[in-house]
Amino acid sequence: MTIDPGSYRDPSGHVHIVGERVFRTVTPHGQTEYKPVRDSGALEGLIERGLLIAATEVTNTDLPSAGRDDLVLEHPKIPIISYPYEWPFAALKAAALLHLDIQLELLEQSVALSDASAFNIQFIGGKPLFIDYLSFRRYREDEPWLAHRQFCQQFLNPLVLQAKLGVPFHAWFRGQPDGIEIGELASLLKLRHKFSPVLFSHVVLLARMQGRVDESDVAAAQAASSCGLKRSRFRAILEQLRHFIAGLSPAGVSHTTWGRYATDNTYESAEASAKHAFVERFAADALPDLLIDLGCNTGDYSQTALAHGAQRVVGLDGDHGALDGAFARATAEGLDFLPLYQDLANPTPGLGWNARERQGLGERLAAADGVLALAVIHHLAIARNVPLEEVVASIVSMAPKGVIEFVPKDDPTVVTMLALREDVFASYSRETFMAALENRAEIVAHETVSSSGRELFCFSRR
Amino acid sequence: MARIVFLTALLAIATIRPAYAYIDPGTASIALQAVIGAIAVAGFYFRSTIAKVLGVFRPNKPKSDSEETPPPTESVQTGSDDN
Repeated sequence: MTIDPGSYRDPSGHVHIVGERVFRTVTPHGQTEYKPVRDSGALEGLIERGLLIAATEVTNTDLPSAGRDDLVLEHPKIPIISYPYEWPFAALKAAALLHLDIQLELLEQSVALSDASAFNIQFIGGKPLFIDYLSFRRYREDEPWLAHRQFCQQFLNPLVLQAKLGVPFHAWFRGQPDGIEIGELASLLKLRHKFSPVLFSHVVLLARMQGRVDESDVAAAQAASSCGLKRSRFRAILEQLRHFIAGLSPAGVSHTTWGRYATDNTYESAEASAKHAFVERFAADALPDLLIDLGCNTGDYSQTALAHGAQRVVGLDGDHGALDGAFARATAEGLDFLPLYQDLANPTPGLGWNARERQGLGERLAAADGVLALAVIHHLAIARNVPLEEVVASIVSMAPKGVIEFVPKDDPTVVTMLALREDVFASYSRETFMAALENRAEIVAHETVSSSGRELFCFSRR
Repeated sequence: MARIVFLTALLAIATIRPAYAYIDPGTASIALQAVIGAIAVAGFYFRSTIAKVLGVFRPNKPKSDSEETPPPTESVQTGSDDN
């Protein structure tokens, strides 16, 4: 079978991955909803404006595993699959606004979205793209918004958690991929939050109602399903949420250490120029299709690599302020640069059903052909106690070519890291580093870039 | 208020319509939507009125994206334009 392991929930069809091609089957059950929407022409405007992924109808012979009566669509392949628990705040916010904008536009044409899964949105650089064709169904006049709870769990609640309570949503969302429960968020809100009409109605009131309703009570469920929602009220809810979410920004971001890194770091600017020049030469020589920038910060070097030969860059960083800066850079400059939240010592594993519904990070970035690891190794080897040899081995295993920066132990940053703890890192040395690298790769270029002895190594894996 | 709405919902059992969701919409969310919708409509008119009143005193006030301005009336914007 070629069915994507993450595509089992919806009985209307499945995604199939065949080599580099991506197909979507629409079962006869799904076609009763999809075909009228397709024929209405409502989706074409969304595709033209780059809000919805394109789809071409192909014959079943292109996909032998499709059912005989299935409709088969082919989509362009998304270069990098990412998940909401990896997105910077600004990216989840952009995805939420895209969902609401699409529903608002389609409502005018009597089309509804059957779900509100954040996983239905993917990013091309900093631009969100809706990808699920099975979400479209005919709108029934005065029907309730069936996806309301899911929208709250996967969009509203995580954003509110970070914006109003200053807690990044990522760890919680990763631990609970269906999103943050309404009752859980409600129990954390302070009195002052409850005066917001949005938080009062979508979180506080709903949580209180949930506390009183027995979800296993069939009569209650049937009674609820008979409650209608007028189209005008549905539109008002969507516009209210859009307005509220558009005004959210992450709490406390400007105070994080790394957000200021680009302008206030321990490098001399001449050293930064030398690093940029080195990265330029690497990108121009290696021409990577997919470059991983480990510890990307606000994306300075990612942008340099993109300007000199890299096709697209995935940036990984654990600092939320830096990531929002990086995402702002990607959208403002129109870069094919996707910054993702990642603790490099604890990368995203496979999650969900069978631990395969959502792929681990390594699986999704397996096609990377370049890696930048600038000012990274000491954060793993010293701050996180990972043996230096393993750090180097891990970086070299990510891509066949790359650049690694070696930071010596007497560098001011490392000295600061060791100021409050015992130096148990006897093996953290240039010798260990060189042995680990030369064991696995050929050193193509080398340059000392700082007076403190930081060195860059361009490698080619053996 | 929530209790009243829910009791009303229970009484409205006569006209049961099939649900079309493959996801679980949640009883509370569905039962409460009319109220949430009414709050949203009221909020819209409240903000519009405030904006109009403020507009009398500050006719050239630039539009901002804060919670106090009325919601956008245009139907579509790209998702990334607020960042």
